[in-house]
Amino acid sequence: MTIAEMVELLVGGLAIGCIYSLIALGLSIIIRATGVLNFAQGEVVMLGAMFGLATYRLVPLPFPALFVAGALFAGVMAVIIELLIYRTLRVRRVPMVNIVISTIAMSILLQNGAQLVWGSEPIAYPRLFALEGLQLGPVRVAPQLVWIVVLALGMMLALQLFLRFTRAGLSVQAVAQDPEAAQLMGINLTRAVASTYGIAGILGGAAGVLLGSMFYASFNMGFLPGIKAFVAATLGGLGSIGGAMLGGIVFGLIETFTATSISTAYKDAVGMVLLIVILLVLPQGFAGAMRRGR
Amino acid sequence: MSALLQISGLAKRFGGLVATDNISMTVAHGQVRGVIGPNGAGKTTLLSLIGGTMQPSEGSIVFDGLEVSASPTHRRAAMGIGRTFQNIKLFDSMSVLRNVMVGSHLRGRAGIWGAMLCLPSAAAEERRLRDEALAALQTVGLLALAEVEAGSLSYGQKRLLEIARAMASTPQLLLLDEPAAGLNPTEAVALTQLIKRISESGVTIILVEHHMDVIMSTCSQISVLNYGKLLAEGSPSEVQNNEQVVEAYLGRPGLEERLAAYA
Amino acid sequence: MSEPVARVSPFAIAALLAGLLALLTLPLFLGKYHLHIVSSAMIFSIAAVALQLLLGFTGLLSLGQAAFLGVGAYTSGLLATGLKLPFELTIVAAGLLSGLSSLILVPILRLKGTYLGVATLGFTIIVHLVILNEEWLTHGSLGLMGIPRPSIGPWLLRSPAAAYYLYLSILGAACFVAYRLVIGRFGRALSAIMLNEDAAQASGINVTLYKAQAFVVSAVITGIAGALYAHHTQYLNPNDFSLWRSIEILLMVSVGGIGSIGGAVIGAFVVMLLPEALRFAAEYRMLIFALLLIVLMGLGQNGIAGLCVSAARAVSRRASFDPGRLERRELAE
Ligand SMILES: Nc1ncnc2c1ncn2[C@@H]1O[C@H](COP(=O)(O)OP(=O)(O)O)[C@@H](O)[C@H]1O
Ligand SMILES: [Mg+2]
Repeated sequence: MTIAEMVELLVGGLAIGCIYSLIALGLSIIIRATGVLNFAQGEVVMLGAMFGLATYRLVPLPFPALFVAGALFAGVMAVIIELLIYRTLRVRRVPMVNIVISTIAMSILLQNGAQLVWGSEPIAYPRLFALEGLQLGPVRVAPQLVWIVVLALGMMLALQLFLRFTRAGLSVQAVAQDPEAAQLMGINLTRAVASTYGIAGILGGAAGVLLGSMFYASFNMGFLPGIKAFVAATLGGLGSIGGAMLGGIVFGLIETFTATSISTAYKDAVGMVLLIVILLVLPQGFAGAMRRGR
Repeated sequence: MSALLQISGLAKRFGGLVATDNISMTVAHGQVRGVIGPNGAGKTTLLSLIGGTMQPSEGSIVFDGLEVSASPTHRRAAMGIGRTFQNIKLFDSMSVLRNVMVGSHLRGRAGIWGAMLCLPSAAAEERRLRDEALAALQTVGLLALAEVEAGSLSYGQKRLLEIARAMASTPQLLLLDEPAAGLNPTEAVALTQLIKRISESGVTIILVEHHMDVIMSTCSQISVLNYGKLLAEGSPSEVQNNEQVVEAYLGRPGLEERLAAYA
Repeated sequence: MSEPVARVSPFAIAALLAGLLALLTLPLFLGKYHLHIVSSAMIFSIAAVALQLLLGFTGLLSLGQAAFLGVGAYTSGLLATGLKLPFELTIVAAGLLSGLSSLILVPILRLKGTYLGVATLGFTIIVHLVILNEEWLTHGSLGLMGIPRPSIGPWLLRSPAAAYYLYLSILGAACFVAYRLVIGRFGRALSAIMLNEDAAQASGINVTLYKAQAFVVSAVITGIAGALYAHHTQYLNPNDFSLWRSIEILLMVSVGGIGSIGGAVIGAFVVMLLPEALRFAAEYRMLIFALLLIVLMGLGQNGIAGLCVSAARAVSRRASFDPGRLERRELAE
């Protein structure tokens, strides 16, 4: 492998890894805030991709605008689902398992709903990027990948800023730490949890547009990336924000490098073997290891 | 009396924090050994090291003539170390009786095959374990509540149930971690009686406790821990008059009242 | 996740008998197609009971059940088509091989909660890809065809009803084994592990050993269910054993009620048959299915079994006033 090929692969792995990171971040903040493992996060990703596409058909905007539109739509959908379904269940004080199972039901619902609306066939994304690669010295990189990495990292940065410096972000953090104490401090729990789902939806929807632009959009496109992001979030340490980012990127790189150097057919399998090995060494993922190290 | 438990140079570090530091201690057969010390002194850590829930960073634990510091918890339980937990750890959704029957796990042998093949020996054993558990409940005075869910017991009853469960394995050494915490005075007196009875039946006890009445009326020897170190050791009166011990308690603001309460 | 109660209420006995009677007479009322579907539900009930043993009685979340199902199905299918071995042999081999494959995973049983779920999920993905890609062995995505119907000795169970009774008796055996394993000393150790691992260990329970035993038994039962599936459908496709299958089995257990063996059977029937029953709704049927699932979860009970228990309680509370119970409750408080 030449250096140039290496770099190309690296950027490709980084791009897909960033997408996993975005989805994993959404999963992680929901787990932190409510303890719920959201099986429907992958479907939110699909919604983002579909809405991005729908927007383009309405008004052929440039890619960053589609990105924002898809993310926002998915965020709104996530909030609606939270308020309509999960919140209703929480208010009724159903056991946690019931909420997790209802997210599986939600995943079934959204997939089948999307199939009704958009059909079963994969829908190609419009060509939004220049085809010839960006020449950086001896290295040639597809502009699309650069865009994906830049936009994804931008989202992650925005998330950090939001969580640290805005009132809404701080209340999301407070609820994640201790819901009861947060409520005593006058934080509106309903609003904080809804914003958590909203942020997770925005992150997922953004990932959806990026994923769609790389491949295509289809009603079941979210399932596998959702599962992989779930694995990435676990690798990072469930509920850890840094862990989810790191886990996603590591997982994307592993997948890309095994696909080219070991086997395309087994690229997912290699990732899973590594996952199991890593969990054997670090039973609570990267974040658990960092906590222990401190 | 020979030594049942011999600890030497025992240390446990959590990162930079030294929870127990070079502790050596010998506990004779049949003794009731009190362990006192301010919060964070390392008492619970010491019990966990003996019981096996934590692995020591250094040092050795010899129980009944065998080095056990590398053995897993369940093996130590099989050798005769039983314990209760400071933050009560019951099987909340099980009945009181079933909790105790888990405690008598080691008194049975029926395994996966006995269960699947419905061996008559397994059924007979089950009846025996049940009777023994009921007897154990009688000793701690919880017999009437045998069928109640353990999670719905009062705090004091939970503490008693933990002791009954630990006793159900007929241990040689019983580790009690603040059994009187949260008990009202009447309950504390009953607990003292219970500890005495257990001791009289020949069980060696290590008792971690803040409640001085309980300590003073049950223990023959007391070890004082402070900042993970063994500060003093001796009979109750020796320890009470030890300057260092008094200082350790008085030296920390807010503890004066507690010491006064003990007196 | 409550512990199993040794004393059985009259309601439970009545329900059990009624259910048994229904299952025994079902072939009399059903046509060929419906019997086929019900038979599939029966086979998945076996797999659900096996997961219940882990999730409901040991507290282990396994998303690896599809892998064990697949190992069992392909073992039996390949031995029957390739080596022409008899059904009685291939089904035993399926159980054994599935059990053996679960031994590889024993080291990961020390992972907690979702972490274990994710690691076993990884195992399902690995096995699925092996089945998909090792075409020389499994015929890959073409699928494995021509698997013979189940037979016992000289009798080929040609009639769907005969096969149905075979599945029913194996389901009965699986329920019996599961029931025996969750009562008594063994089952107590399992629930102790589920409820508090530290306390279980301090009581002398070898947590690793017991978890491993439960895990292997569950894998063996699931492998046998896989073998039945192979001979029932007579055709295997790798996608029958994708991760989605594991999630589906998890759904069965949660819909039926976590911690109840009968619940697992009911859950499997509901998850398998409800979409069939909703066929009239055409392409909307999965939407309706999902909505019903959410409504069931929203009732806040532990699945259908939980619903039945609280209904039975409400009825018996009205039917009889038991002063003894009140007294007991007061004592508890
Ligand atoms: N699992 C642990 N990880 C990190 N520190 C611990 C852990 N357990 C105990 N410690 C620390 O060790 C010290 C001794 O704790 P402990 O043995 O519980 O004290 P005691 O029971 O005497 O109150 C404390 O400073 C405590 O914070
Ligand atoms: Mg303590």
